[in-house]
Amino acid sequence: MRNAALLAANTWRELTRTRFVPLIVLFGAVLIYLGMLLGVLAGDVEDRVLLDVGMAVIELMTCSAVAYCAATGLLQEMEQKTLYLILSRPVGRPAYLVGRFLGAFSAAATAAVAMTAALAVMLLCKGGLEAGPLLLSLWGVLLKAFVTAGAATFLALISTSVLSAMTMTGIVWVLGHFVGEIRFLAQRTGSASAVLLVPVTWLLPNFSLLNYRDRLHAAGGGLSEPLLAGMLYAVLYAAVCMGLTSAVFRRKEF
Amino acid sequence: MGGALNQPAALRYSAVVKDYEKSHLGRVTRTRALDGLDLEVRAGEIYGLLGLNGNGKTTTMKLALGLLRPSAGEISVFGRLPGSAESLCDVGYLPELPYFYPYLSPREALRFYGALSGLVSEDLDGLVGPALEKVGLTAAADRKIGEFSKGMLQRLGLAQAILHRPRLVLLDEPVSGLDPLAVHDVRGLLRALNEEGCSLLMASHSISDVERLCARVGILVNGRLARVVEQAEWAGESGQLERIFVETVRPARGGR
Repeated sequence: MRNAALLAANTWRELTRTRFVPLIVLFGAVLIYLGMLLGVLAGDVEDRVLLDVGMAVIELMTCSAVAYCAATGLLQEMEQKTLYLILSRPVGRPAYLVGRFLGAFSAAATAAVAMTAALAVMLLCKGGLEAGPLLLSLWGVLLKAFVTAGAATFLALISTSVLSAMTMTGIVWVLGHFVGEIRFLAQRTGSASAVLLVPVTWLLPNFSLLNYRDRLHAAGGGLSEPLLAGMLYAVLYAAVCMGLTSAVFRRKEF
Repeated sequence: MGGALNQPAALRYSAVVKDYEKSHLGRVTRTRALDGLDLEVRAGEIYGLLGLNGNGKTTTMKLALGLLRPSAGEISVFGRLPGSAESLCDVGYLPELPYFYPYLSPREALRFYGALSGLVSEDLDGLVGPALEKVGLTAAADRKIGEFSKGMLQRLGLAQAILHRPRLVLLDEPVSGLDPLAVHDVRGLLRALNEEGCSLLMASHSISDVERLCARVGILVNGRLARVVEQAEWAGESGQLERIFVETVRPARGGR
């Protein structure tokens, strides 16, 4: 665990020193600010629109950042051979992977928290800050980033380039938001090929489980069960991804 | 040296074969990098590895670190499996071109690699400064590695390889890219390390450095250990090791 923590801290340091995290935060803050223009058009529900647009931007930026960090980190280390000086030390390969994964996640999480703070300040200035929904959304974003980091790490290892890893992660991320719809449509059409799609959807992350604010409105506030289930789901999904990554990585030669 | 005879070999290769496999459109091609390698680095000695490019020197080192796995044969590091945590604690490695994170300073890099080697904070406090001093990087200790020349990277590579006081150091072209003064300093440093009991396996194209430092030299030809030369065979006669090397390698290259 010590080695994983050291590697995570180094990954975090890399992503902050190379100005990746500050740039994500800055770009996100600019987009959130531009979201105010939409708020003006929203009339009575300006605060709601600001919150929705702001959190959507934060989710998009955070998940893109984590996908980029997880996908590039591993492939770059192999390509630039910085991996030699790590794996020639008593560092287990699973510990290395966990370190990179946690480093990528913590950097993206830092960016998400910073962007959410910027959004909160903006909402506060507008007099429409509600801490509950904002924190709930942030928690959902963090869990999605956790799942995306796991998927991106696995996809990076079975990809041949950063571009293909990022593309595959992007596809998985998009499809992960429509798992329920894909299953519903597959069953409705009833054709054999469509029904065969259903088992495939079980391999995709089901991000609708982590859309807490939707559930807040749907459930009228009873959220303790979905919160726990969502967290367990995210941890389990990322753990399975990392287990598969570890199995592939163990066999690799450098 | 008498005590060394009772110790297990620092590094031993027994009938080691290494094939690289490449698969393209379902067709697998194999290239043999090592072909039945038998080699032993005794505890406390400096062993040189000479060979032309692509004759298996780097592969030999990577196998000892577990970065590669042998296709056949056995390797042991102080009697332990290569790549195991126990064996890696005892090994330092300087790759041919040491790659570092450009955003770190040498001090930070050494603390990072030292911690990964199992050193705790108090050890690092006492070891990082002297290691930087040994390789002549004290003045640049807090500069970004991204600004370093090739020679400075090589010096830092050496510092990270010896920081955790390993019993065996694997050096792949240790003087590559260094200026004459730095070569002299590195030679002195390697000798001092050896005098402290550290075993060294050194792959190099610089026959003069191998000649000056090593007790024995193995000549690799097409992945096989074609000849082992003892220091007595070249000592006292300038250029003798080079002659032996050329005589060993040339027939395998068709006399060219």
